[in-house]
Amino acid sequence: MTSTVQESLGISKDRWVIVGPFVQCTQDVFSMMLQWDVSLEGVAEKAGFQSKHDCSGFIGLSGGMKGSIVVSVGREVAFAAAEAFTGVRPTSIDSVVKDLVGELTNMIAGSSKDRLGFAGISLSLPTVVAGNEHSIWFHTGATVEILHFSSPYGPFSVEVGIRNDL
Amino acid sequence: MKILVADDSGIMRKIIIRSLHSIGMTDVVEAANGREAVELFKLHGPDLVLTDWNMPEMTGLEVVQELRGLGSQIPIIMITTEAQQRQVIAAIQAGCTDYLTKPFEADFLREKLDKYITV
Repeated sequence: MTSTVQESLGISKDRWVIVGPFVQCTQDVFSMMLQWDVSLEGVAEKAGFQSKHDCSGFIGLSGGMKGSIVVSVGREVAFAAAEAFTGVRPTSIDSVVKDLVGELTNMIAGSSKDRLGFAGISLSLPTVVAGNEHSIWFHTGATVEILHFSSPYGPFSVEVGIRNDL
Repeated sequence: MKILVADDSGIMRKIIIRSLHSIGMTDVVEAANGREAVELFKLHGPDLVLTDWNMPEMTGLEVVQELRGLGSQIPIIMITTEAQQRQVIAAIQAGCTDYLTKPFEADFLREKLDKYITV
C-alpha cells in the first residue's frame, strides 16, 4: 500500500520516509478515536504556509530530529470531532475545540515519531492558535511537507516541517 | 471504587471518563497536571490511577514514582503517545501496572479497564 500511495503521489522515496509515517498515523488517529475514514488527497512541498483552516495545533520536535508538526482543521471538522468526543456540538472555537485540536496534534505527532526511525526524538507540549486563514511560518531552513486530507466533515491538513541542517 | 484520571487535555479526560461511565464507574476525580494528580491522590485515596505521561508541572512518570514512593500499591495505568520500548520499560520500572498507547479504540480501553475494576 505504501509504495502504491507514494507512486500515485509522484513523490520520491526519500520524501516518503518522512511523509509515510504521518499519513499512516493520521489515518490511525482519526479511525481509532473518531471512527472516521480520512484519505490523503495530496502532498505539497512548500517553504512557508498560509492556513486555509480555522484552528491549528503545533508540536515541536527536538533531539534526534528537529522541526515542527502542525495540524490544521476547519470549523466543521473541529466541531464534528468535538461533538463525537463530548456529545455536545460547540458553537465557536472555544477551549474545548482548542483542546481537541491540541490532543489530535499530540497523538499524530507522538505516534508518528516512533515510526520515523530516528532515535531520541522528543516532543513539546501542544500549542494551539485559531483565526480565519492564519499564517504559519516554519524555520527558513526547514523543508515543509503539507499533507492534504479529506474527511467526512471536510478537509484538513498536516504539515511536517523538518530542519534541513540535520 | 474511586478512580483518579490525570491528563492535561480536558477532552482526553472526557474520553476516558466516558469509558469509565460506560462500565459503571462514576466515582472519578480529575487532575489537569501531574502535581495536581499527586495532591488529589493524597486527598481522595483513589483505588486506581490513569495518567498521561507528558503533562506540565510534573510528568506522569514522576507521578508514578511519587505515588510508589508514598507506599501506594494500587494499579496505575499510563495512557500516552510514548510508545517506544525503552519508555514502556521506564514506566514499568517506575511502578506502572499497565500501559496503553494513544490513539486507542474505546473498546480496547474498556477491556483494559475491566482488568482493574473491582466492585
